[in-house]
Amino acid sequence: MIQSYSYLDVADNTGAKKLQCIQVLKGSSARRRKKRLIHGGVGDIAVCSVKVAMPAAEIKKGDKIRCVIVRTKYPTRRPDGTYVRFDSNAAVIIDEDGNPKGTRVFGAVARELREKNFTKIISLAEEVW
Amino acid sequence: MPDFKNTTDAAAPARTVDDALDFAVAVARIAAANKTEAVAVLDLRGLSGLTDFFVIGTGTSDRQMHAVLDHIATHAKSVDRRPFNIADTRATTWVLADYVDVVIHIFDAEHREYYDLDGLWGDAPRVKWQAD
Repeated sequence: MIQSYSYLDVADNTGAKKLQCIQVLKGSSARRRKKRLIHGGVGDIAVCSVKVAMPAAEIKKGDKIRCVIVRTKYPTRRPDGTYVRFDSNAAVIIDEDGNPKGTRVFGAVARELREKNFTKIISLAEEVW
Repeated sequence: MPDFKNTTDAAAPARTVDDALDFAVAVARIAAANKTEAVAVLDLRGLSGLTDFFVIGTGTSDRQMHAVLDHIATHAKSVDRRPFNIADTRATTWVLADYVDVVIHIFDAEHREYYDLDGLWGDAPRVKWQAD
C-alpha cells in the first residue's frame, strides 16, 4: 500500500534510486470522503519526488516524475485466493505516454501489471512473479 | 438452482504451443508484408513467465505501425484470437499487442535500439520463418 510520503525503491536503470510518493493517481480509497487517504497498489500510477539519484544521471534529485508501482510489501490478493508480497516497495519511472524511461527493469515484478496494461514494463523485466 | 458449471473453459478454444508458433509466424509474415523492417520471432518458452513468443519489428512511420496492428488484429480475429491488451499511445514510438502467448512489439528505429529487446532476450532462440 503506497500513499503520500511513502518511500519507494526504483526498479529500473534510469539512475534514480529512491522516490517519495506525492500522490497516487489511481488507487483505492480507504474512506471515500477523505481523498487524501487514497493509497495505491501494484499497477497504480503515482507522482513522486526523486529523493536519491546517481550522479550524472538524467533524472536528478528533486525532479517530479510519474511512476508505476511494481512491487509492494503489502500483500496483493489474487482471484484464486493466493497473495503475493515482496520485500520492498518499488516503482518504475514512466513518461507521459506510459512508456518506461529506463531500458531495464530489475528484480521480480508482479503479474498484475499485465492486467493493468503495462505489458511493456513486464517485457523489460527479468522475472515476473 | 444456479448452474455452477464453468462454461468459460468449455467455450475457450484449446490452444497448443504449435498454435502459438503458427500465429507468431503468421504475424511476422503480415508485419513483413506491410513494410515492417527487421522482423524477428523470439522463442521465449522456458525463459520468460510472460509469454511464449515475441514478435519484434521496426516500423517506418506512425501510420504504418498502426496499419500493421490493424492487419494483425484482422488476422487474429479470423483465427479466433482476441488481444489481451493493446498498448497504442498517441506517441507511437513503441506499440504493443498482447495476445497472451504471443506478444507483438513494433518500435520506431530509434527506440528499438534504445530498448534493445533483442539484446535483453538474446538467449532466446530465433524462429526461422520465410516471408510469403
